[in-house]
Amino acid sequence: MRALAIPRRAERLFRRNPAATLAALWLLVIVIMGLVALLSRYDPITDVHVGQAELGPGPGHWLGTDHLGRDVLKRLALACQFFVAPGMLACLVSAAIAIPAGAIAGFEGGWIEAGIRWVFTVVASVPRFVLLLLVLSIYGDRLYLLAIAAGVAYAPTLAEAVFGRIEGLRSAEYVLANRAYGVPSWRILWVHLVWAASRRLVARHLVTLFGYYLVLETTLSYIGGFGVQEPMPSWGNMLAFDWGYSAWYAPQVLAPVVVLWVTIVAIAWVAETLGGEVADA
Amino acid sequence: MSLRLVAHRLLVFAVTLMGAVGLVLLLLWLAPGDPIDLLPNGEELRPVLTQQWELDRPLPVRFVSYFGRALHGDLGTSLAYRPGTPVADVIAGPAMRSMVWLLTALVLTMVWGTWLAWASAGRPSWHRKLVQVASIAPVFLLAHVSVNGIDVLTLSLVDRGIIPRPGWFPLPSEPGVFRTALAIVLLAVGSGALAEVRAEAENALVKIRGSGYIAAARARGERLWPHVAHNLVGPLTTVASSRAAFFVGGLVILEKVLLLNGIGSILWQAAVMRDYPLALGITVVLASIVCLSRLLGDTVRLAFDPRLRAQVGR
Amino acid sequence: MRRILSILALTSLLLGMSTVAWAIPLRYAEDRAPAIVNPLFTTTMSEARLDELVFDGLYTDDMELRSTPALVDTAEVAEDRMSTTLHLKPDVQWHDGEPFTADDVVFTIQAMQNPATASTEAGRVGWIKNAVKVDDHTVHLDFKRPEYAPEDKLHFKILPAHEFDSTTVKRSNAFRNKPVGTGPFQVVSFNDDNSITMQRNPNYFDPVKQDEIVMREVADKNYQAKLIIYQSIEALVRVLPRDLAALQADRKVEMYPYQTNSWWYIGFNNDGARLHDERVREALRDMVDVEALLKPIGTGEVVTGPFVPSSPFYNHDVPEQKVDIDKATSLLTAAGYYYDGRQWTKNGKPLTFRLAAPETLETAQDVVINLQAQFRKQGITVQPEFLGVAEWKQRVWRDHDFDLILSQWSFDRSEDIYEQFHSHGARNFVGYSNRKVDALLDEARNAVDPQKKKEALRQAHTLIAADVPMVFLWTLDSYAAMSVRVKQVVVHPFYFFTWAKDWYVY
Repeated sequence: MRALAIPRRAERLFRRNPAATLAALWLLVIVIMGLVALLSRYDPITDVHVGQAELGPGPGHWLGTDHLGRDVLKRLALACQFFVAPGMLACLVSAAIAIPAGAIAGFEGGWIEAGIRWVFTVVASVPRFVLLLLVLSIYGDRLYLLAIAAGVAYAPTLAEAVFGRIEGLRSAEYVLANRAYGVPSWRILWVHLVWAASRRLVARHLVTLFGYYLVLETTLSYIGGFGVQEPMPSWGNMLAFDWGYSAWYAPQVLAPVVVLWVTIVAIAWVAETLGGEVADA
Repeated sequence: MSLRLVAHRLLVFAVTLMGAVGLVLLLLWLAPGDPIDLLPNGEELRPVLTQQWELDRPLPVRFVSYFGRALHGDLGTSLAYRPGTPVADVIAGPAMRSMVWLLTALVLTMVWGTWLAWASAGRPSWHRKLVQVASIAPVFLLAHVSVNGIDVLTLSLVDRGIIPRPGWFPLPSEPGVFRTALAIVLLAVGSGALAEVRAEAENALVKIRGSGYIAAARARGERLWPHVAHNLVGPLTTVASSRAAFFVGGLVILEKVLLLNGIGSILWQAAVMRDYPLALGITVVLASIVCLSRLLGDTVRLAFDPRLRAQVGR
Repeated sequence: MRRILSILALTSLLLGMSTVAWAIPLRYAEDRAPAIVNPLFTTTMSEARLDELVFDGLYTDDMELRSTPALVDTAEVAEDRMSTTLHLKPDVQWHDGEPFTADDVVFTIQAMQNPATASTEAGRVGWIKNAVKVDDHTVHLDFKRPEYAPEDKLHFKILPAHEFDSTTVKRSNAFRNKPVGTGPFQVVSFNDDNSITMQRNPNYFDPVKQDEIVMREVADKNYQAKLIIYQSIEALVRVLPRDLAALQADRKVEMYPYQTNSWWYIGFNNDGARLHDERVREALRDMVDVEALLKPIGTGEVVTGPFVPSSPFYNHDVPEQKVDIDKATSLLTAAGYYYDGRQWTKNGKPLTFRLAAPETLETAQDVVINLQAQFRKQGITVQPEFLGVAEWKQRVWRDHDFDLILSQWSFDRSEDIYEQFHSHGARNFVGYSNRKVDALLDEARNAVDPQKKKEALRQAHTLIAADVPMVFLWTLDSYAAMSVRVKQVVVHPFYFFTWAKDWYVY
């Protein structure tokens, strides 16, 4: 993830902002769990121990067990794999589509701009969630399909952001100066405008997309029917699973709520910090 | 406002809506295999559906005929959810309800966000962080927490004898006004809606307060709020129309989680039961709402800001 | 003058209040609203319960669960027990005011028997050869075989002939939106929120106390117990096991235990390639720890065959299933499978089964996860699928496209397992076939002597258990919860509302 290779300027930003630093660290933990979980030998299927149902936190089960005796902490960790890697895939897909399209539209203007922007407006006219629900219904409920579709559904937002930035800078002095010096257009566009001027904006949007994917996956798993199905854990279906079986403050009921909320806030704070001030967008 | 402006905007609206509908139709028609295979009772209905859906005709022809029928209000016939009933009949009532809830939530979030921005001017930034943290939770999480929370709270109050156990005490468990109101509030707050509106309103207020015309008005001893309100309309409308799509998505989720009988919960049923005509019909309606809100937002902004009117004509 | 007026006002207020007292609606909650209100097509218990309120049968149960006349006044059974003449009650009216006559009885029987109607209740009148109207209030029935107690079989609900064009009735018939019966309550409206309002039938032949009954659909099971605690409903028909403790502790709620004559099972696809081999089925059965499956979802009794332990047909000599891994291992090895340390395989392919469960079966998810864990620990992979109603009907009932299924059967008092276990049975989708069992089931269906029926079915129990067409699981303890404000409550153990005309909410 980009946070792992933050350039110096961003690093200074984080140092000034302890909340954002904590948030970034938390996210790092989540991402690592998500990648490590893919290789884990913990088998959620065989973890059922009827005699150990609804234990409180203690040695062996740091967050207790749910009403089928499954370890809550391990399931929380395992659930990360269902949104970390797919979330990154969504970011990749979105970036691959939206950055070139938005940049070219902003740089060229005219019919190209109108055409590209129209396509994105059309895609944005269908509410994202509805579009994704349709895709799942028609093409089947496959994890990586959802990731790719989410990337495509978010692309208009990213493209509009990139477009706005590039278009605003199109007639900036240093661009005109570069042209006067004979710097080729593509270099101006990609190196100066996209990389130098827009990368933080893009980073902010991609982190936001990652957060959106997390919300999407947990929402679908919470409601059921689509998303991660039992016995595979997701923070969404863990929320729905133990409700009604234990008191509200029991860890098996509270932990998924807390973890999900904290992660989403963390993502928002990191996105904000990476992207600079809100007005910067 | 000039007729040319209006015509231009309407054209954009129509073309974009057609594009959106086309996209959705394409999604279905490009699926590998036959859409009929995906239906539980597909084989028996194959001849009827092939004819009804014009599966043997080329794509452009099918687009045109779908639009033609849609303009007459014919969105197809439901196959699984309410077999035999025209889609338009199935969704008419629920669509009205959902639109009312959507509109109410939008107004609520505008008013509330503006009020928060106004009230917290000059206050420390933890105010803002609090709103952001509360608002950023996904709507399903907010629904889960608030419903559970209200139940637990009520039950503990009842256990302590602080309140009696009347059947009339509003509960989220009951379908009724309270649950609908809760859904509207959650929709107004959740998935970052309230935080975003608040931030936009705050930005706008800062700009307005520091602007020349406000200083002039103050110097003249006029009331400030008409100027402020007039200039808030623009940014707020932008946020509202850009947020419309997210609100629709949030409403679909909330209707399912809080068991409301609007168009969103029917969409879920259609998606699960693979009732494609119904799902497509609902998506078309929702896309129309989004495009319409964009159009209205543009119109309102143009009406309120003469500078924009001069710019249009590109 | 003013004093007289105020006395009058007070009196009328008091009178008004006393009538208002019975106007408190009795609200009850169901998991799922009835999909159809038409006794010809009843498939779910919520539909059956609604039918109890709105329709009557020729006979019904009295409080000792013996047949007592309902729409029938008197009856004579012929000496050879091959026919009966029923004299119907003279002044019964349908909810729309039309008089109830013998035409309605004849129509109902013919509609149920008509193959074009495809009534789910057709099996209930298969024993009637023909029904003839003698006069407006007399019906003559001829039987195919001698009947020992025909009144026990005449509990099915009667429909009004004048509401239908012919004896071919379709599910989509308009009757479903405007059901007309003779019962103590009539349907007044189907509401937007899937609730159904019913009001007292003023012309009912017995006095009905309660004015209004409302059926509410509360799909979210987490709310059901809370609703009755908060007095938002007066009756909860099925209490979830996890809510039992809370409701039992509540002094304003009374619990009523229930006999549902229903048991859960894990069905095998006996015609399937791998499950055709009895050794494989037995091995799978020996791996299942039934008690452990039951524990998280509630209390009940483990069953060994197709009846509930309290049934007269249950054979208590059949031993309870015990987990026996060694036996299972030897059976699978004998069947040609090889355990490679982690899983059972044949020709290098791991032994995998698809397990289908209906979405609508509450707590099925817990059982499936648990079962999946048990099998996986023994090296067998199970892939669960939760199917919606339409998909279940198609894949399981019609196409037999499954390996294992988790489901339950519910029977009424006749406990007729013919359809499930006879080779010609309409619901025998597990594909079970045993000639001896067929003969026993035929004998039981036609038995005149209840003792012979008992013996035949007990023997069938033994044989079926030995053949392992399915793993018999348990019957769950079921409770209904009612607010103590509902007076004079006696609950029918199966149909719940049979004696609801005496209830009222105070």
